[in-house]
Amino acid sequence: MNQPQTLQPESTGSELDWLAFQYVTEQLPENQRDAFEEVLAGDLAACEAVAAMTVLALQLKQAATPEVSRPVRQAARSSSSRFGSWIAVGSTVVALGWLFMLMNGQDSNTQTSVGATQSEEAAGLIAGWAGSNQDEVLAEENLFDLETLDLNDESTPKIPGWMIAAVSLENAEEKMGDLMDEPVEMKEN
Amino acid sequence: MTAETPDRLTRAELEALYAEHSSELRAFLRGVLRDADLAAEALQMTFVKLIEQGETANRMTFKGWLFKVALNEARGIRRRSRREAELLRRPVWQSGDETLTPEETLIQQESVEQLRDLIQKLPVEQRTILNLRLHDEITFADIAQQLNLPLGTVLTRMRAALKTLTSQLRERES
Repeated sequence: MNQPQTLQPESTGSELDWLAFQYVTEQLPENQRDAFEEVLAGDLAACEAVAAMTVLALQLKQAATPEVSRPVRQAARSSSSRFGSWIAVGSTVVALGWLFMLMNGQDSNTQTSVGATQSEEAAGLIAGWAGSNQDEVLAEENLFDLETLDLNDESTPKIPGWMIAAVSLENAEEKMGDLMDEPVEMKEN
Repeated sequence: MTAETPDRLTRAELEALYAEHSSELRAFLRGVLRDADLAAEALQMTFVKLIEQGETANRMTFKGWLFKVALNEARGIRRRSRREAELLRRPVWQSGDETLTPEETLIQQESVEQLRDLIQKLPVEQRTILNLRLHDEITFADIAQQLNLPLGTVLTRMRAALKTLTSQLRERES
C-alpha cells in the first residue's frame, strides 16, 4: 500500500484534493479512510474536494490512454514472458532456415539427378568436385543430413551413390576409380 | 416537490437548492458510496430530509447542512446494504454508470476531451503514472515496483499531475 498523508487541520486545497483523490480511488488504508470520513462530517471543504475529485477521477478514467502507458507496461513485463517471446522468434527462424535448406537440397538433388543421367557426365562432375577446394565441398555437404534421411522412403529425394562417394575427400581418388569402372546407377525421382 | 407551508422551505427555495447543489452532492455521494444507484438513493433521501427538516438549517449554511445530511444518509445506506466492505474497496470508477441527459452527456464528452488535451501536456513521467493508475488500474505500490521507483516519487508525480490538472481546469472554468 502507499503512504498516504495524514490530514492536517490547516490542510490546503491542494492537500485536500490529494487526500480526496486517494480516498475516492481507494488508495487510503482503512484507518486513514475512516479518519478522512470523520473529517468529512465537519468540513465542507473536504466534502467539496471529494465531489470534485470524484468527477475528476471519473473523467480521468475516460481520458487516460493506453497508448501512452504501453511502453512502460512492456518494460514492466516479466522476464519469463520476454524469454518466451525470444524462444518463439528463435523457433520460427530455425524452422524457416530448415525449410530453406530442405528446399535448396531438393533443387540441388533434382539438378544433379538430371545432370547425371550419363555416367560420363557424372564422372566429369566428380572429377571437377575432387579438384575443388574443401570448403566448397563441405558447404555442399551441409545441404544434406545423411544421418536423418530415410533412403527407403519414396517421398525422400534419393541421393545417388556417386554423390555420397564424391563428398568423401579422403578417398576421392580411390572412389573415382571405382566409379569409373562401375557406372553409377541413377535413381530418378 | 411539496406544497408551501409556513414552517417549511418554499417549493421555489427547494428547487433553487436542488438546482444549485444536487450535482455536487451526487458526485460527493458517489465518491463516498462508490455506487451510482446508491448515490442517487442517498441524494433523494437528503432532499426528503431537506423538505422535512430544512427549516432547522441556518439558511446561510444550507450547503454545509446538505453535505452533512448526505454523508449520514450515505453511511446509513452503506450499512444497510450489507456491502459496506465491498463498496469501500472499490475505486469510484467502478461505481457503475449514471443516467445522464443528452446535454449532460455532451458536456461530459467535452470535459473528457479537454482533460485529454491537458494530460498530453503533462511531463511524460507524470503522464505515465497517471495512465498506469487510471487506465491500467495499477496501484501506486505496484507502479513503483514496476518502474523501479520509490513509492514516494510515484506519489509525488501523481500529486503534481493532479495539482496541474485541477488548477488548469479551475482556471478554464473561471
